[in-house]
Amino acid sequence: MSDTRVWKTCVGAIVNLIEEAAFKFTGEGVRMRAMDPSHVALVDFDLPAKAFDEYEVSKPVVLGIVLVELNKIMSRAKSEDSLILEFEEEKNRLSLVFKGRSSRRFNLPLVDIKESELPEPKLQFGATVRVLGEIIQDGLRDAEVVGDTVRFEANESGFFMYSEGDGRSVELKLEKGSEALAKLEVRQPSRAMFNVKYLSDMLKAADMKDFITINLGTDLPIKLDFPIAGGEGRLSFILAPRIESE
Amino acid sequence: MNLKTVSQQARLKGLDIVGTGDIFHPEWMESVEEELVRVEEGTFEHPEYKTRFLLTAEVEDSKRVHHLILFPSISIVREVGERFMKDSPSLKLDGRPRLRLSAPEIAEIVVEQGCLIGPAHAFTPWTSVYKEFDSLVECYMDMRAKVSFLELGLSADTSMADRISELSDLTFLSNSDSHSPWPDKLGREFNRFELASPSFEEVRRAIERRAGRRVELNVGFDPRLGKYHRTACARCFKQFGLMDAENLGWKCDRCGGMIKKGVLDRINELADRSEPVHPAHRPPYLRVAPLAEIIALAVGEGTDTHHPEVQKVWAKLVRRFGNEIRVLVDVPPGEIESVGGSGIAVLVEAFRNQELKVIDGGGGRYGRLEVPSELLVHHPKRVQRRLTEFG
Repeated sequence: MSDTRVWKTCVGAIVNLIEEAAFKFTGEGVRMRAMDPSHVALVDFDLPAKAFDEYEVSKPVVLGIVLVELNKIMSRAKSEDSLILEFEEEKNRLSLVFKGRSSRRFNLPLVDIKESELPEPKLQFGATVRVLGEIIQDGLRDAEVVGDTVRFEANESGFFMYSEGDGRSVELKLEKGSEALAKLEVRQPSRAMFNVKYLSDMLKAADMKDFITINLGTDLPIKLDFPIAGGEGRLSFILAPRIESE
Repeated sequence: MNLKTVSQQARLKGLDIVGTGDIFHPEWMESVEEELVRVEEGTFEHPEYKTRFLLTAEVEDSKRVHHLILFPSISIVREVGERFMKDSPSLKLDGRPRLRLSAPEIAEIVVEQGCLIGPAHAFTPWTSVYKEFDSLVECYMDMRAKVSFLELGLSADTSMADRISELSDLTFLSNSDSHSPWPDKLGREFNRFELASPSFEEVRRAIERRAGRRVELNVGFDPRLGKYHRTACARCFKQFGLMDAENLGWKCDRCGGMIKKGVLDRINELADRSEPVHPAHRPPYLRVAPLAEIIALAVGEGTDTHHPEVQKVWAKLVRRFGNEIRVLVDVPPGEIESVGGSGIAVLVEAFRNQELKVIDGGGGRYGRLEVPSELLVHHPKRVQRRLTEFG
């Protein structure tokens, strides 16, 4: 594929949550779903065949990849490079070829990861909003200044992010009708609190100019959907909330 | 890395003396001479923070075994450096130079100049004396008697090392090299000496156990947290029993990576005692962990030691109680609670009582602490839910 950024940014975001993952390559495309070891976050990666310039998978195959290693390799990709992924079955490794002015081939040994069927939690979200990536990034950076958690809230008047810690607080308001709020669908006013660091890691996958779809419910996990590869593919995260115990 | 930050952070950690490390590196040596004040031969002090420095370096011999050297003066560093240059063209480029010399040759050169020498991180699988030899005599040969200490390394402690009888005469040092000056890396392990003054000569006497000077306490990682404690794959970190690793030919059955023998298994091979026998001179060994790691556990899952919240609480505790070691070891939990909150107080107390769960390190990955579920109810006000609790 001619755009290496898809892999670079997605792996860069996932690697902070999950050490290794099973990527399933089929005729339809590449899929990966995995949960972080503490069962707080779930990643769902879906890149259809049409997102690639050329795509050839003769039989479905599951590749176990150590993401830290893949991330190191992807960090060597240049923006003008195209990327070729080749599975060498006999050597049980994945070759990544960066083609630019030169051709650079990395070989990555694969690991044995059992592909497990991870069902997506069935959640009755109360609200769905579509917010410009840049706005969410601003809200998270603000939240990091004052605390380690951030509350997301959606109601009829708009979408809000709120954080507090040690007497300090910050609030981000995005009122209904704002250009940065492309969708505000509130079936039930919803609010929940999350670990900022997880969200900041996830947001590394987002293009700041893209709209992120957020599904929210009171004290429920949050679901974030990022369009990838020009909207051909999708990267989703589900993150469990933090709740006040006192 | 610079001497000012190291000096300042050492104070917060509670360290009076730090080894310079890498003293053969010309720019580092220049910094030592320019930024520090010479108190006496071999002893330097930062003018502002008063942290003292001794001249130290680690070198690698022709068998890729690492040795730690303590120097009595800058002029001796230069003289030894000149001699080593003949067998190491890269001496001045490398922080830890490789020498085309054997261990006894190195020992002879440095001991003749009044330096102290001993094996560095003695049991680790890549570059230690016991990865190469089965005894110190095999390594140092006729210079064995001149070896005055052994550095335990992060993956071993006194109880493990004292199962090997040939080590009984040696002073154990619980040093840790620091690749960054911040307190979760600086002084991860340290020694408490009984000295008349913080100087090279006094430290030498303590290591050689002369004139009533001695190492009073070794303070180090719980060895299970060390990154080479267990036998494990160096690539994917899968852990193995020794027999399994041998049967697999030291090749990981999961990823094909190289399996490296853990310090625990290596000591089991070397040990001629089933239980440790501590010689009379051996000080107690206190197991610690970086305070920032304990705070990160209290702050909640998904936080690491560099998280702003962790750094903030760490700074508050250290400002209030003087240094990190006091917080970890001495300050009553009630006082910790009044500054850092109940979650941290509970976990520091649990740490002192060895109630935190330790996930063993191995293959190059550090072990980590976990909070047992029965303690979770005490601490965070904000509880992190898990996805498995939903639908």
